Amino acid sequence: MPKYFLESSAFIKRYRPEDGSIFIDRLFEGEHTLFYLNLAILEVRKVIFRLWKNPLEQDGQITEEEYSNLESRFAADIQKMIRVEFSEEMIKKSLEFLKTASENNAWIKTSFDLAQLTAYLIAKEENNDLFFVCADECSHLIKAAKVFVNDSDIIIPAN
Amino acid sequence: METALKPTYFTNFLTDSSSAMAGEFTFEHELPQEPNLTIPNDRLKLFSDRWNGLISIYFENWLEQDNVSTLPNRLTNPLFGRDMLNTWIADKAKNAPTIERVREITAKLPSLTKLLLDDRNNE
Repeated sequence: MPKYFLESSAFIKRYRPEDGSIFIDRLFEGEHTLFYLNLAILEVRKVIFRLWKNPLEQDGQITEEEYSNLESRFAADIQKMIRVEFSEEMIKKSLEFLKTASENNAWIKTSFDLAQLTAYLIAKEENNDLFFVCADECSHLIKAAKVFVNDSDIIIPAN
Repeated sequence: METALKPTYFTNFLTDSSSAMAGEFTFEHELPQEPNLTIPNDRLKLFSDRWNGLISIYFENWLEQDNVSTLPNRLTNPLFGRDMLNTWIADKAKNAPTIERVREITAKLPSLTKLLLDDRNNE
């Protein structure tokens, strides 16, 4: 059964039709093993909460009921997935990955990017056939991932 | 054989902050063999690299372990709260709408990927 690690930027495409949503749908509909980092719960829920309580002018706003519906769907989805816990080993190794990426002219911009890539790389050590699914909009992270794995291990969802 | 530990003198006691040695003890009676130094609670470390009827007691490890043991589990166990999180997920998932219903809600919104990455890049 194919295994995919859904980086949050790709995972969240499931909840709104946009580039890549159809591919993410297929992952959920098919016989696949889907991994996610526990920190994705924080990231995705924060975006949903922002749309309810603190939307920017251009965001649009959702009601409390819509917020609850989005959270429920997200919870139901992660129930079917495998949660990777961000571990102290990952804390230790993240700087080694950052250093290696940097030495190969790939800069990992944010701490969450680094956490996601680190979790994927360590999960891949345990699951050699694990694909990294990352949004096209996250191009710097894709570039960094290519320092460590083959291009064919990285999937950029597109419709 | 009952043995009494009688402190006869202390050396190096807090004279050197880099030293863990807090004191030395000698036995009142000569022991026929090296005593069993296993301490059940593993908090008192006794070292006897060179057995001359002399035991050095190092309190530094004792104090360090004591500090760790007083930290709450929620501050040291990365998986603390896993049950709470799983319970929330299970409860919330019970009334999950279809993905089609979710997309009706979010159709009026901008790209969620963009929102997430904006948020991440502004961390």
